Amino acid sequence: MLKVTLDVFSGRPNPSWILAETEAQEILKEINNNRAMVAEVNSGYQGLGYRGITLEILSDDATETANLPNLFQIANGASLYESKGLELAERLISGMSNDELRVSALGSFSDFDETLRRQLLDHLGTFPKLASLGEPDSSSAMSDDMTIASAVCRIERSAFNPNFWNNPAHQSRNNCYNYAVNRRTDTFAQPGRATGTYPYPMDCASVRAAALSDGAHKRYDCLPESEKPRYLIALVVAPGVDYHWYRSQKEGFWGHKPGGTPAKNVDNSGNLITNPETCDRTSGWPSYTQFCGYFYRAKSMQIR
Amino acid sequence: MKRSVPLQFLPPKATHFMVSLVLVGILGCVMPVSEGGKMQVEVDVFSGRPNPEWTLTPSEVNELNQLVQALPTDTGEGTPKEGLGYRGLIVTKTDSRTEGYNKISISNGHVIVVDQGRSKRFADRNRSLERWVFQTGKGRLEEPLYQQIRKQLD
Repeated sequence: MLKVTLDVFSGRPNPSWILAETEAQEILKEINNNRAMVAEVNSGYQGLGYRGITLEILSDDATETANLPNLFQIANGASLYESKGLELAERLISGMSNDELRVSALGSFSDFDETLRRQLLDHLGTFPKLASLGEPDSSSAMSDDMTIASAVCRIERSAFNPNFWNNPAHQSRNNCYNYAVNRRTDTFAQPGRATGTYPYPMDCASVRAAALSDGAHKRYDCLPESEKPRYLIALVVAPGVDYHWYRSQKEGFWGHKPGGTPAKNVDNSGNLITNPETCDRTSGWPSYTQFCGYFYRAKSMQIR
Repeated sequence: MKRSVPLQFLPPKATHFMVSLVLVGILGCVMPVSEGGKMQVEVDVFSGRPNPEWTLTPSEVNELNQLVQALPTDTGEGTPKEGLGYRGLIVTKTDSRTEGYNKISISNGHVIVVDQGRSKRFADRNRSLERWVFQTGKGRLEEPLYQQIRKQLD
């Protein structure tokens, strides 16, 4: 029997519940396979707001619990494997309003309201990061893709420098792809052209394949240090018509360069781009409706 | 006895006529009398793919130049379009020997003309210049694309 407590409130009692047995077994198995995610209670972030998830083993009959402490925390900022902890935290929080996964709830039912759940899920993406070389790529733009890789990938983010791109001698000769990959070739670079796979038809799969052919990596397929700077970039497509790219900048927003027009950090509505998945990229025609995913730009990429 | 008439004794009109003939004869072979020159229209619509473009015929170039010359000065209301999606048309001189403007940018009721390194702004009332330039793309631009962009001009 596994009790889950969200260490989140200051005045009110924290929400807590007992997990259904099959879910509990799966969670414990995952923890046992990734022991580095286990942390001591209250060893992590101690300020206001979300602090971590406390797990308490309440019975001795589960095979998975033999080597685990009776009481511990995950995703509290202090474990040695935070990304895995966050992944499990996401699973637990997502499931907290699911009757099939929850046997009983302790505390009032209003603790499990949708707003809290959604806010917590959003917050997990920006929970205190580990300080290290490069930064861990831990989901600053929320996506529905729950299959986060088991390793933490390191990335770099560059400062937004539009003047470099908006120089009249170069502006019209470089496009969104040049910008995302940060290489001013003056060839209006096309994904795949340097490596022989020009995208056709114009859809996510083709443009993705072309970029990978040029040497980009899909997100969570980590690049080594030798490929620094490893920018996080995002691809969208106007199906059958055109594609567009964004690059994650140091300042916390995303930059882009629509064709030969100036590089900027705002979308079609004039709003700062904090999330390429939800920014305005559909109010004109062509309408870039499809979000194709995130990638890493590698130093050794070839583009033309 | 045959008498030849020296040039200075010819009536003035005849002299002028003969001089003109000679000049046209010489210059006509070197410089076309009314040459539209080569200008290219680029539809500023894509972000990744290169923009589509076509070349205007000499008579289209002449008509364009006349239309541009007739434009009123820009009062500055609104701005040219930027960002994703169809933005406007860019007409550029592709032949340096061609008379006329280096570049004409037409977007959302505004025209920016670059000539000899200087730029000037004009107003494109009702986007009529933009519509006229765009319709020269009929048959030159792939039809589905032509139709989609035409809707943006309505």
